[in-house]
Amino acid sequence: MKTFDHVLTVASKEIREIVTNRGLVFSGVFFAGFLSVMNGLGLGDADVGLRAQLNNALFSTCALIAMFVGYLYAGQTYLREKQTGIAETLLCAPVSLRSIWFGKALGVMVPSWIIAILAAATITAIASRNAGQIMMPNSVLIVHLLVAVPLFILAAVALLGFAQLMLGMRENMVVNMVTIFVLFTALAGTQLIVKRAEFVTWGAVGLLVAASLALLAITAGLSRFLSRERIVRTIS
Amino acid sequence: MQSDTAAVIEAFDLTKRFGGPAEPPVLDAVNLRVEQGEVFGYIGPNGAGKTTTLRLFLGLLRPSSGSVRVFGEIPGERDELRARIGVLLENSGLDDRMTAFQSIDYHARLYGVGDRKRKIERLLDFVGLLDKRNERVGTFSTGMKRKLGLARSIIHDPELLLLDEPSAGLDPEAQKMVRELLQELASARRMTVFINSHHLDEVERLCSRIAILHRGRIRACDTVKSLQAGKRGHVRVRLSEPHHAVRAAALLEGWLGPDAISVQGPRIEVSLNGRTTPELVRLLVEDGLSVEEVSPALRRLEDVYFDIVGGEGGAA
Repeated sequence: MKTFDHVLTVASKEIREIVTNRGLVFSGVFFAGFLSVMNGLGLGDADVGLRAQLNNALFSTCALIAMFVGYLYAGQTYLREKQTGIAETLLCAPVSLRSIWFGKALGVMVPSWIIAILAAATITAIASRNAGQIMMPNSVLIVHLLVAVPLFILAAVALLGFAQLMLGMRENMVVNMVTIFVLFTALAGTQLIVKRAEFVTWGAVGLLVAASLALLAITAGLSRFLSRERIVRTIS
Repeated sequence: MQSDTAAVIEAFDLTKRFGGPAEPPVLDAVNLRVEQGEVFGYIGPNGAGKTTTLRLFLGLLRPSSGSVRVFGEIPGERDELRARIGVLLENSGLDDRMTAFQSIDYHARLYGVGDRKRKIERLLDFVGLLDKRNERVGTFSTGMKRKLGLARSIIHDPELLLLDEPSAGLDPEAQKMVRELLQELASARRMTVFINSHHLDEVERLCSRIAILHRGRIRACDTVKSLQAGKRGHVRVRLSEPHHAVRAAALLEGWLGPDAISVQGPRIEVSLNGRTTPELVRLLVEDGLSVEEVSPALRRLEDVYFDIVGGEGGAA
């Protein structure tokens, strides 16, 4: 119970930090808005129907937008606190390292997920305008957006946060560059698959949920190697 | 120094190396005992190992060899031990985007403090920041951040308070406030306080005992008075008529040699060079001088410090 309280305390602090930081909110909304508008406008010119394209776009793009926003926010949550020394004071509190690490991941996931939902709404609105009728995501996509996407963000942010806590500042620069490269490559890749036959199925959503849970479990296992000494010694 | 009182901190040959065994230790076989209710000063130049020691006490680092016990436990083994310790690190560890109230409230929640609102407001009032409770920490001066950091460090009524340069960046008024606050915590609440400091004046006023750390080793550890007492055979003479100091000094110079005498205003510091205090007094009295007091000559803590660390001190 105490661990749960600690996780919630850390998470709620991180959520408040993010939503009260105008620069951070703006960069997340701007990036998500830009990508979702571009995605929405790109729908329609293909052999497969608009509905299938919309479903494909919502499935792939929203998760990646959320992950990119999560990446932006994780930098503020884990790395900035480590660099400024705030993390060291937090490490002196009677809170387990896992609670700190997971609480922060949860705190980053919530605003990133909200932005992903807004991105989904934007893409859907643009697709509806193009189709001349209101298009609503099907039940598979709703489950995807409500269950798979937040789990996916949580797993990705938890892994990133683990790396940021574990590694020194120089190694983190490399991790950041690799993450950005992977994200942009994946985002570009979605453009190729969106206009193909619809691949959004219960199986695909289930696969993403399973992969996210597996990643979360692996990172939770890896977090055993995280130590206060490791974090303190990689601060500078 | 062993005693019957409970040890809050005990270090036995505490050694910390960063890097391989060939690297010189940052902390080298430190032995230390801090007792309950003590205000203990830990002084030394930059890089002496003060912050490393604090991190070892907090379980943020593990000893390379030797051991440390805080309240009889190995730091870092149980998270609950940290609930008994309050910490103010050199970097106050405050988030600029939070308000003063939120900063303390966050830690109060993590430490499981009840009746938070009342306690936080009382503490903010105590450090003179109640009217700034809803202002963001980013708008605060260094001194205000230090006060807020101190308030945060005691929100959970810790039994041990570990402070790293508590007066860094504070103006004299704020330094006095911090000093008084620490004195109250130590005396009224019987809180044990361990202070890492460069501020020798602060340490001298606050601490009952001090340790001087240099290049990872403790070079001196004793009460402030004992350290200041310095060499045996040094006394300070005060005459009933201060204007006779020059005459007395001339007389003593003839008796003990010029290097043994130092006149400091109405006082004369004398190195007895094997002679005794009664002989000194008799000499002065026989010459018609009236002696008011002869006491052991106390050195300034600064002199003690620089004698130990040489020119590498950097203390204020």
